[in-house]
Amino acid sequence: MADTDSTPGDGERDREPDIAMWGASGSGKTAFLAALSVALNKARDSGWRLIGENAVSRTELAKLRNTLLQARTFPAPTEALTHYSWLIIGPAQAPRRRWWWPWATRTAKAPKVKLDFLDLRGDLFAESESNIDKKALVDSLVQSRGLIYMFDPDREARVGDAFKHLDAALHEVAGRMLTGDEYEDGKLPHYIAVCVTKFDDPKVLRTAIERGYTERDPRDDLRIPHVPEDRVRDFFRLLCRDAQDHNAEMIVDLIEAFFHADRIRYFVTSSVGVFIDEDHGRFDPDDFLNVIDNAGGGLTIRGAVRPLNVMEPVIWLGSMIRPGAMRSRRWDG
Amino acid sequence: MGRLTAHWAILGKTPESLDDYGVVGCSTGAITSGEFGTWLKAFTSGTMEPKALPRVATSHFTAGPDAEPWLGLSLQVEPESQDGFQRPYAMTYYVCARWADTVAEPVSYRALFEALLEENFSGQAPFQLSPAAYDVRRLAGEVNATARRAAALLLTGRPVCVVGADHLLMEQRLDFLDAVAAMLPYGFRATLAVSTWTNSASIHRIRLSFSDVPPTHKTWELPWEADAPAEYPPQAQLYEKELARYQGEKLGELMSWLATLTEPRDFENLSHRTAAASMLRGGRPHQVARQSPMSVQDLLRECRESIANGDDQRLGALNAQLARRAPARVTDRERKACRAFIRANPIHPPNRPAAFVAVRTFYEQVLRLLYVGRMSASDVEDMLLDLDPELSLPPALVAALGKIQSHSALSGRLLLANLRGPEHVQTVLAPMSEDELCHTAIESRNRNVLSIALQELDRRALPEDPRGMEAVKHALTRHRYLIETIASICDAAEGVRAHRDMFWMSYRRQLTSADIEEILPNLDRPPQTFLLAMVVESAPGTAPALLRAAAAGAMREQGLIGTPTADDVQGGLDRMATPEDAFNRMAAPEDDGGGRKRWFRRRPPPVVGKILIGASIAAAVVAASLTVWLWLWR
Amino acid sequence: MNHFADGGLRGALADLIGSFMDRLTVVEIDAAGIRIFEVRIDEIGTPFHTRRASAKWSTLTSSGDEVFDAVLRVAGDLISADEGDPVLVACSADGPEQEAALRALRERRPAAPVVEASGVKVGDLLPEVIAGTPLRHAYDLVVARERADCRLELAGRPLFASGAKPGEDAHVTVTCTDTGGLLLAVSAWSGPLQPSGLVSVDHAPLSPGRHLLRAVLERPGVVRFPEIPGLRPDTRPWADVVAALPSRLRSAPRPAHLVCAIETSGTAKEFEARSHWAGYVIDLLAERVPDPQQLQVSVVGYGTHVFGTRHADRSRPTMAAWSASTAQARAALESLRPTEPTYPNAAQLEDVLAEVSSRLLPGGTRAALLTIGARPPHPPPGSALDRVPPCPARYHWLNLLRELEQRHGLRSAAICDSPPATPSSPWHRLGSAALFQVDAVNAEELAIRLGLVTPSAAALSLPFVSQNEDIGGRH
Repeated sequence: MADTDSTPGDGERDREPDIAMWGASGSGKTAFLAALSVALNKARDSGWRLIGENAVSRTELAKLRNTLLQARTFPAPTEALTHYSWLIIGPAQAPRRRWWWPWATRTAKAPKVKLDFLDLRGDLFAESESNIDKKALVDSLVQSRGLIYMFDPDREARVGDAFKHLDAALHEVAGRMLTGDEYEDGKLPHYIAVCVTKFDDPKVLRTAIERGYTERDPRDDLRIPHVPEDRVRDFFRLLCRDAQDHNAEMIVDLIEAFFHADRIRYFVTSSVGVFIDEDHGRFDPDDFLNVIDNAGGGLTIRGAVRPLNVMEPVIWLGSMIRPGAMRSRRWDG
Repeated sequence: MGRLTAHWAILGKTPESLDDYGVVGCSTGAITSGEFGTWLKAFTSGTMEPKALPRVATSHFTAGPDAEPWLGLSLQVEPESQDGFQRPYAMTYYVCARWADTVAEPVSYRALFEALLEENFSGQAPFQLSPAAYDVRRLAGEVNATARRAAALLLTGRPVCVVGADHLLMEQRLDFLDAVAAMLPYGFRATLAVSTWTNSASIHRIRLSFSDVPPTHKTWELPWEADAPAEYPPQAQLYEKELARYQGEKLGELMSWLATLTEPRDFENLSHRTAAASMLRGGRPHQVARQSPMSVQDLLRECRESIANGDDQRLGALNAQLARRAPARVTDRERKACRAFIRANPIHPPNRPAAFVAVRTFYEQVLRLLYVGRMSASDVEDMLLDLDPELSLPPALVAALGKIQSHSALSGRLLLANLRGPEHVQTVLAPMSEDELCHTAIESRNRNVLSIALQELDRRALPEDPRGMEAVKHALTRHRYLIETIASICDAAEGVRAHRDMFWMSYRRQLTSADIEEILPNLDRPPQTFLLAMVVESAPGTAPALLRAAAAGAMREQGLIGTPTADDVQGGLDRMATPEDAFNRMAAPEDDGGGRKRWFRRRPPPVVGKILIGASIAAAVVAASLTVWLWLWR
Repeated sequence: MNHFADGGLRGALADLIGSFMDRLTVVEIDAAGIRIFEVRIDEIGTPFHTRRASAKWSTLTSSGDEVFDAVLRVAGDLISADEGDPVLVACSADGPEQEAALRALRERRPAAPVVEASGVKVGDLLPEVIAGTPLRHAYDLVVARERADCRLELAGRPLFASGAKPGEDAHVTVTCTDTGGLLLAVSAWSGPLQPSGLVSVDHAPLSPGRHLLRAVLERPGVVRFPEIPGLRPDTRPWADVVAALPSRLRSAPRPAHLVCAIETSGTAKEFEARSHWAGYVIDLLAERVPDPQQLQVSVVGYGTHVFGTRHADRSRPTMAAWSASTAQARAALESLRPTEPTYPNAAQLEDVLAEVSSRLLPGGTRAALLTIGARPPHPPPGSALDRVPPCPARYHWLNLLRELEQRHGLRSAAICDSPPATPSSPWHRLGSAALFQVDAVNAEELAIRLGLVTPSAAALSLPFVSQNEDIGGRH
């Protein structure tokens, strides 16, 4: 019966996602995806665009973007394993003359990074071994080459199950990948972007400011504080120490035990960014709350959606796992 | 439409909770909360888009050791409240019924949905739904070209996603799904998951649904009320064309007939699909439809009349009709009704030898169709109450019983053999070990089985065969002298009798102190009948042993071992076992002479040196009681 | 043994009662038995006696104990060994028991005088003697005296000096200010600066105005005002009497200004309930303060800020009436309409405070603020931890409130829809004078606590002495 059913999604599973993401429910995975398209389109000078590869993904992308930009709220929680096939298209590279045939120029070529995302119900790892979705998820983690791991400091302060979920997931994946001889160094081969989400949350941002983890980016007219790249890991550790669950302190160690140090990167992200009063035109430490309660009891995004560090992890992963990344880099200059 | 037993569950969250989705309420019984959670989550179909909710969906699963198929229907709504992260969440109200129960009288999705709305989803008991009858006229009225195409496309084995129907109300979409299902053999509903909305980006198990865009692969995109694209396979076009030939009342008739094709069918199964696809060709349905087969109960009624009238020939014909029925096709409800009918209308078989074969065959068919599964002793007794309440044991019935004996449970087999005669009992008993005998007696909780087992044990425990006796004794010890079974099925006198028999067969003499000390410590909480039986069977001078063993058991049970109370009890036991004058001599120095009353008594220390130990125990008791006292008065 | 006549016993008792310090023991021995009395002084200097022990000779002997032993034991328990505590023995019979008893008493107090007293019972004599004793403490009449700053204070007007004898009288002039009459409270003073307690409190149904009263000292502890008909003891606890005294006799003539701030956001029913109380309080004031010069009322309706717009919300509270009469305020209140909440967790109360602060003119009026609403003000800038954004105009409600209190002596009361969620809720601060829930409001008390009306129960119940009246009393 059901468990012997072939599932309608089989076709999708022939091509496993290149980038998989996971994190507890409510950690902002879907919001991250929604923010991704906004982020790419907002970065005017970068010239990157996000498009859906097929009708479903295009529709979903439009829905996600609309939720964030038009409805000014967050996408509804994901209830089933959801698959997005997206493509990031970069700015066209300037045409170059070939030295041996200098009078013919090559046409401009835009770099493309394929993003096959698998978004999932946050509690899937709590499910029993036999759960079909869970199998699909572990498969996707095993076969993907890039991982986005979402750590939600707010949830961690209230529920504190990040370690449990991460531990379970990593052991599942390791159990599948590291028992053979393929990876002799005993580490998982993925690139992993560890994203500390909800930087806009007053608790997180205040912690960062008060403990001196933030700096001002001189290039940023809005003067939004940011955590410099070399301090993100320490900041992440700090948040883990402040978490509800004692085990959270071990999260960094857990990640570093399973992945190559040079394939881990930490990011502090915010899908909606902080609130900037248009009349002042810059970050105000007294008033940056961008997610507020609405009259209906839900949440509303107050000001402009300015994703922070949302495209960076994806572009980093994309450039790391792009087939022949090294080669094409040399050829395209 | 009759009553339909439905188990139910609610999947969701409590307002403002930080928990993930879980089963927040469910009926108890056939399906556990964990199974509900698994199956409900397995059939989720996307995020909570505003246009998706409320959503009605069906699902199917198997449960229990026999992988019994179930059919479920869920209603998903969005409550006013948010969860602890201020996110919206969905509440899923779910009912499910055994597939077999939805077959006896076909039920439409709409009827099941409306029956679900009637329920309040509280308590723990399963619902007794009263879904509206299967209304083919209404279903036929919902059919449009898109529905016919959907039914035809489903027979290709690939899921179908209807797009461009965002404007339809949820109920209209549900009626559409119902109409599509009604244009396929009813048995396909056993594996048909439908939903009024799915998110095509999600990886789901829904075979027929509405969405805004179709999933990327291996799913038919079916535009609502639009022309069929050319790439639809010819066999689907054919089935669609065949369906289109039926309109109005004729379509209703076709649906009625399809509803009788209740054998479970699987869309994944190519032969099921091709059989269905070719079914409509050549106008067969009408012929079949007119042959409305007699129900089992009607057959039984006619058989009974034939037996009463001595019409052996007619009985033979009816037997042949019964023989064609598969037990799996008879639903539990039908079965129940038939048994009630037989019980209300007893059959009196004639004594004519000429009728013997036909009546025996009739009984065999009745047993085959109505008494399925491994019959236990109580099932056998129930069966006898139906078929032979006066225990006249007509030879034809006794002969027929032989047929079912081999595939009955041990306890049932024993009773059946007992009905057939002692030689049959012996053949059943011979291969059974002493442990099996005890186990069967316990498991059956049946007085007759108990008595057969005890007789057999008694027969085996012969004094001249010490090994046999030892085996019986060990089996009885291991099975705790069947005390729970005896306590539950025998009255006090019978219980004492049974236990006496057991002591006798274990020892073949009056019980000695050693025997008592062997028996009692292995039993916590021996019932009073057991102790009485022991008293009856005990040899002279064993009273102290019995008392000591009983006291030790009581202390063990109360958790007093190693406590000062245990010492006190031990003291009491010692004193009780001591001749009276000896006690008086020792009690004298115990009086503390202070005139104050002592509220506890210490065991008289047999040796003066033990006085110190005794004093420290007394101090401990005082300290402990002071602690308790202080604690009480805090 | 000293032999005194009856007068001798009386005289000895009168001397001792007038002079003893701590306690005086009187032992009476007669033909029937022995009795021991003790005289002490209460806190206002009035002697009183108690019978400590009494035994018949017959019971003493029949109990098997010797009389001597028994009396010695009782004396040991009851008679102070301290020579400073006088002991007087009154003996009126002879006999072995009396003899034994005297011996026992001498054993305890050898110097105790023994008085021969026949034909009089000590138990009867003691009250008589006590009633004739001169006062040990001075007695004053308690009055309320107006100080230079118009505030009232309690003071004493001398009636009887210490040493005054029963039967003496004194005259005193008092001013009654309340139509209900006044309380004549007599207090005792153990020293010139040491009030020791109240002698009596009586209610005199006098008409307002000046009265000359005659007070008569009946006996220690009892002062009568024989010329006042209808005088009756007042049983209220003195603390209540004092607490009920107004701080000033006359309410200050400064005019008051009430600002009613009503939150309009919410359902029609919620808004209805809020305006009801605003209207009720305004009506109450219209009745109590009929002089329009004495009361101004402002009505301001406020809603919630709008977030999520491109530019910061600049909406302001609706000033429906400013410095208006009660009637105008009532009409302005009717003009307010419920509004849809645009933000659930806070309302633009800080904007109301800013508006009021900018409009109130310094000096002159006493200002009062009555806030009626559901949502607290927006938190001050920089405290975004509670997930409520600060006021778009960056007003700091607490600073504004403090400033109003300092500059205008503002008192603030609040009526909120539901009880404040936390002890740190701004509602406690906004309702510092009075905080009610919308379903249980005591409007009368609210008006009193806001200082808009004087409590009607607070009429002066004591004799009044104005600033320019010199009474030479003590306080």
